[in-house]
Amino acid sequence: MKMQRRDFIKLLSSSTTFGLAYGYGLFSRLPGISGSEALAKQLEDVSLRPVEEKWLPSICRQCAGGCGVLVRVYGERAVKLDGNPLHPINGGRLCARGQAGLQLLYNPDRIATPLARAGNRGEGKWKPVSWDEALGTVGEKLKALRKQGRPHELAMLTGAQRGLERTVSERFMAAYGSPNLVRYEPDRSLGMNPALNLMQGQAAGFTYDIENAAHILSFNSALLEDHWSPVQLFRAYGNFRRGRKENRGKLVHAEPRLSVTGAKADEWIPIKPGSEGILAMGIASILIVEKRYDENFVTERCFGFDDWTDESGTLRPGFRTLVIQEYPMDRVVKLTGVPRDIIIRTAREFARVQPALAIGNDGPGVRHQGIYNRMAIHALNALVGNIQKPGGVLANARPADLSLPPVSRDRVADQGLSRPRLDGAGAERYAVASDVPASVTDNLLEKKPYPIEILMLNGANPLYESLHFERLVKALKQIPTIVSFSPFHDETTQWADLVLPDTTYLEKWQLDTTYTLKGHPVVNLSRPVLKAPFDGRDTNEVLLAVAASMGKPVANAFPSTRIEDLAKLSLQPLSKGGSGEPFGAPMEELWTRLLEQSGWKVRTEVDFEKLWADLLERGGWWDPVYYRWEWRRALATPSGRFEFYSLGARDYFAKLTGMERDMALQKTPRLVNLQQADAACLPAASRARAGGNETLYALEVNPYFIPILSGITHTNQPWLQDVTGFHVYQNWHTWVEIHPETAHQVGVHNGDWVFVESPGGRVKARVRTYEGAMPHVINLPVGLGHTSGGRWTAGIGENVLKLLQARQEPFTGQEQFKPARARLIKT
Amino acid sequence: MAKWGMVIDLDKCTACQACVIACQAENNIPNSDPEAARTGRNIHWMEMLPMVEEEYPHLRMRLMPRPCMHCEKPPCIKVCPVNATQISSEGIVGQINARCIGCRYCTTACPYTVKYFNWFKPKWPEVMEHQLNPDVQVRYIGVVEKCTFCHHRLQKGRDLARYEGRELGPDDYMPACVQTCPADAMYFGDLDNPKSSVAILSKSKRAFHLLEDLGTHPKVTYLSEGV
Amino acid sequence: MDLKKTFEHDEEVLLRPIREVNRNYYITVAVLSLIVAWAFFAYFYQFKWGLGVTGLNRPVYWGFYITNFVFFIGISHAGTLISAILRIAQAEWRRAITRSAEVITVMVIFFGVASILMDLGRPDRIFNIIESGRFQSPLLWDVTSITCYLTASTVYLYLPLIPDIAIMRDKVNKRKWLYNVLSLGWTGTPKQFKRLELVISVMAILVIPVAVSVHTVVSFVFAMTVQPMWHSAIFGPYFVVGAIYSGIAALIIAMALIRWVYKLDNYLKDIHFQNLGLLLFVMTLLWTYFTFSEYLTTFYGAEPTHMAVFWSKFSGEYMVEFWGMIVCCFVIPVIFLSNRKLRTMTGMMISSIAITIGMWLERFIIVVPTLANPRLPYERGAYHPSWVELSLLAGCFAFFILLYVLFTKFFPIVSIWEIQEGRQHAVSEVSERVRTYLPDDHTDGGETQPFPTEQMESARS
Repeated sequence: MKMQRRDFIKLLSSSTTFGLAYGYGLFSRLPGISGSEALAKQLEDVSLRPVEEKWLPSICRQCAGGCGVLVRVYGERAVKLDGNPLHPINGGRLCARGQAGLQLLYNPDRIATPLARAGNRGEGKWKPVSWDEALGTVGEKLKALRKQGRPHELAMLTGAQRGLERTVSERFMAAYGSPNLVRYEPDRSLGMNPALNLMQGQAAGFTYDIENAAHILSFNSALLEDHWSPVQLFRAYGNFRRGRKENRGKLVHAEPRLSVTGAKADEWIPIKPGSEGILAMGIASILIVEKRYDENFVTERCFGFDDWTDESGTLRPGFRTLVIQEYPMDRVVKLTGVPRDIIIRTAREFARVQPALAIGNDGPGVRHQGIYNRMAIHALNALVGNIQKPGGVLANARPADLSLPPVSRDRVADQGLSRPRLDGAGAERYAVASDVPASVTDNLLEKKPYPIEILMLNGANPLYESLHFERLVKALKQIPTIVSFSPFHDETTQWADLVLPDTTYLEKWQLDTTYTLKGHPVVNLSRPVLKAPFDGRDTNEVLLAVAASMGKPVANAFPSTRIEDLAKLSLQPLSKGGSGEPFGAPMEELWTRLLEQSGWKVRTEVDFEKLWADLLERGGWWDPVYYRWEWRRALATPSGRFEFYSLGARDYFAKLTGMERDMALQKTPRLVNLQQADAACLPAASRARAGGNETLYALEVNPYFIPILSGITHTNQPWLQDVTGFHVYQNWHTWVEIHPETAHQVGVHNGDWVFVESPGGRVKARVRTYEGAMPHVINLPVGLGHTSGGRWTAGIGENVLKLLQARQEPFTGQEQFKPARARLIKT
Repeated sequence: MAKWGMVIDLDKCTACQACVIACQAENNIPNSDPEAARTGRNIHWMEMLPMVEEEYPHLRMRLMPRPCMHCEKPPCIKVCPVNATQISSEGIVGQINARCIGCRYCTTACPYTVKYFNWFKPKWPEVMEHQLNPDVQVRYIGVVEKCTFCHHRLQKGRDLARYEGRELGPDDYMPACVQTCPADAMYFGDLDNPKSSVAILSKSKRAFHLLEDLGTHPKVTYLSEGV
Repeated sequence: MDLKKTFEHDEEVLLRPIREVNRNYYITVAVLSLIVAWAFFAYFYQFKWGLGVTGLNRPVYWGFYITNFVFFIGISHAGTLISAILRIAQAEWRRAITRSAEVITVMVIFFGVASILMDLGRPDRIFNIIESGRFQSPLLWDVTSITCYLTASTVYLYLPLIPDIAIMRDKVNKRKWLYNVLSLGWTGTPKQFKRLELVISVMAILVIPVAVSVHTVVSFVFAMTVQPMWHSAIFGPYFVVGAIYSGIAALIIAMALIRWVYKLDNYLKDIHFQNLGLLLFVMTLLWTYFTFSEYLTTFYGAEPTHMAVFWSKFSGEYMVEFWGMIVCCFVIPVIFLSNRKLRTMTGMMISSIAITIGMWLERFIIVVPTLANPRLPYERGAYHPSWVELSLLAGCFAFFILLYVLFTKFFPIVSIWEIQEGRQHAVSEVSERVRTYLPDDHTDGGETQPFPTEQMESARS
């Protein structure tokens, strides 16, 4: 009989095991010191039986990047994660967070069973209950609320949900009759998009074709640290640097601190915190004055570069006027602290080396750039005409249509849905926003527009994210019922009445929709790869079960009670043909692209079961063909052009009335010469003044997100915690980076423990002198300081957000950090 | 006979530390905690090294992933009193856990400080033991451990190739760090094979080694940033 | 006969510590035993939980234990080496001091070896050194060399003990069986003496290269690596000098204590201390010379990695230890030993204690700062010994003193027969020898008579 490869692997593992067992036997005989218990377990587990070893595809969901993983399943255990080589996003690679995924799966601090609150709220006393009991309680409460005709008083705060997960939440809430499905993840995954939406119109998101760019001018972009999809960014970066035979891409980076991106850049430009937009305008002024911009693109594809006349015949200032009048070089130099010659050199280089990209803060973490500064930065891309070009800014292609038949709603649901949202999104000031998490705290507290009866926490942890900790706690106390689906005892879960522990991503079904960095839509399919080590349940299945238990019409929300069936149903349209295909080897991809671009489109319908099997085996579907010349998609603005003067913004302000309009305008930057109404539609970069007495609080605070924890919800992962601040040799506690000379001036030394005090609050941190810090600017890492959530995160460091204050942006209502000042006090 | 070597292109490297964590995951390295980190007992076979040169604002920070250099002339094996650390015929510097007496002479002799010691018995919370790699032995208390270039993967790859009746191919053996590197900044292969990417890259004019002047002949080559 | 009475007096005085046991002795033994017991507890604690209970870490992989190892092996040079050199040089003042010196050697080597064992992560695998020993490793050279030295020193201690054991067998009413066995049937015939002295002199010659090799090899443990400020060509002689230096200091302390406790002022006389003091002064200068050369070459070479270590000693984290060493090993001894007025018993005791401390610091300052400043930019290491290491250090000292005290209660700490031999033969032998140094006297038959003895006598007076 011929031996099969798999048998051979089995044999191999058993022989290795035998070797181990023999070795272990030897050492266990020694008194006192024997092989570790873990080793003993390892051996017991595998013993001499042949063990089957499989590699199963799944999705990494440590962050929103959407990488495909292969899970090495050894018998009943998952022992390693690696990238799925067929996956178009990560191509077999994984980042640090992805590699640490098993520490989430097998985390000893996961909540093992449903819990009901035993003590007072926030006390952390729980008693375990059965799933039946827990689901019963939730069902009863929901039923009762609906019966009273108040379904809108249910609110669900979610994390960065996408795909099937999102569909489940949406349908549940819709059928139940509540508009209050709020993504509570400040600025996460939005990045540059709101600014780009103003200038290029609403699209399915934008992306930077880093791989093909020749020059990148990064404005505190946190490109290599805090990107929404790090692995594909890293892959693109590798190719940007060395992927082409000649023409190594050059990276210039402006940031107050020498970050990883700064260190990796060819040139680091230290810049005063928050002044990136002004630097961009300085560069724009050089491009304009020296006529180095792409005139062709600007005249053909842009609007509002020159002054223009509106419908009423009034002359409106264009971008050129804005730049020339408001950003004279002296002012730029003064506000940014960047020497004139560096600005000129940078600008000339940016214009000369094409394609060149200007990228602002595009990451999920630290939010301080603000929409106008981001517009200013993005304006540079239009000035050099780098839109919809290889190596330019690309609008994502249209996603695959995975929608299920619409939810049939009853009258109660319709009534509930017609109520205004808890966060005010979609109305008035936030008419263009889909979620406004920053409004949640105030509105809950003030019971606006109505009180919330039941709050569900589905992947959101507002108490950590919020800058208004105390107010939010107060608001939570007012809510009669709080249900948390968190798999960990995170901060907000501490205030819940009922905890229905979720499973982690390797244990559940998910259809995840995302994009590559070249704008290709991707659909990830993942299924449970192993038996859950804890008695948690997938929240989506729980919602399905709750809906079913409530009977019609809420039960009608879902065509099936099994999540797997929902996934199948959603994928049905893909079998109907059209573009796109399951993940394949790069060769197949190239072939499809070649065929389609020469006009031959594959439009054959395939057997769904076959497609399903294919998707399960390969991990997902994508459309490898991208049409760059679809200008209508890329420039979906009122003018159909790239708008330096955003007509979208103008319309938005026009639609607001009286007070609302004034309040919205108040949040826009003030200019010297131009009117407020114009400034509100132009890339009016500004640098907010830091609050606080300058003599008392002599140092400026520059918060930044810890790269290795960026995008992670549950930070109870020791591997990651151990390498947080490797560049300053600090981990497991918050540190404050300070320039050695400044440290000397304020009388602190490397390694000292200090309080960093701002007018808003204080945190304890360890001084780390760092040459890469700007004098008089202290850098503090965000991402630590959880007060609960497990042994490797609770009490580790401090939450730097405590030092900061924020304001709400116009349009999106996102929270934007105000610059802060601080001082150091020795402990 | 192959001579295994690694090339790390710092121009592509993004210092994302995927290699660091992949190594922890592959090689059953115990979890760190604040106490272990404070007392210098955490273990990283692969570690990110920051090298800051010059002063603000013209400073350069070089971030280097640092595995064991697998020197051709390893200072560590010269000093081991019991032959517990050896260089294999294929150039991999290994550590025999079962023989090591824990004198830590090799750890002090290594100019790269890449050898680690098990100060305590390696322990995991029970549920975390599920994720232990069955191919890699859990170390004992009181012995030295180090990067092995994921030698167990070589054994597996070789067995598989032998079973399938073919030569060991370039994809059959790759350490976990190289496999995961998102920026594709790490290369691994046979330095003696002139056609292998590592052999070609290690002759690049950007190539340099850590502490080259010590004459240890590292088999990990770095490619410098810049053109 | 007069001589016989003197001999009896010698025996009476020198055997008194063995014959008489008083309360102070029991208290001393009890206190020391308590410390030793505590150290044993500390060691078993470490054995159970691992070396993590020490202050060692990465990169400071070696700390107190290795410092102690080098230090104790250094002290061991007090005995056998000095005694052998003095014997070969026929320095007659050696007779009263060789025994106490040799005992130090034998006793203290155990603690050198023990320190290594304490430092091992897997002491249970110690026999791997035999099973899979690898001779290219300087550590194995150490093992060999130290084993050799221990054996040689023990033999070298034992041989001159035999006649004294015989005396005890005959004259002490305790432990007859022990002395009976150990005396190997010694009867003191001239033939036996002749053989004994032959063997002793052969051993004395043999033991010198072994002793020199021991500390050279200890230094090689460091010097054979490429680490900054370890990789030094002068480490061999530097360590040997340091070893003899600390050894003599330890010997002076031991002798002073013996003389004080057992009231042996008549045997361990000021002249012995003066001679040793002068020797110590020479070693001070020699050690200073080596230290100076070592640090100056590093400083002038100015290699950054070396300088990192250099500055951490000179003005950095290890400044206190470094300057402490300079004060203890250079300033204090030079002040007290160079000046005849200050080279009193007190002065010498102060110097010796300072040197012992200083030499321990020297070992520490060699071991730790190099490790704490690795070549690559890791975080600079820090090392703070834990209670376990401190306990074991105290335990080693206590155990050593305990063994020493016990020895003095079992065997005469001043060699009886050598003193007697000195009284009997040495005086005449020496004057005979001195005569041979001088130009031959040809007054009887020769023509030349350059310097008649009488003239000299008169000239002197």
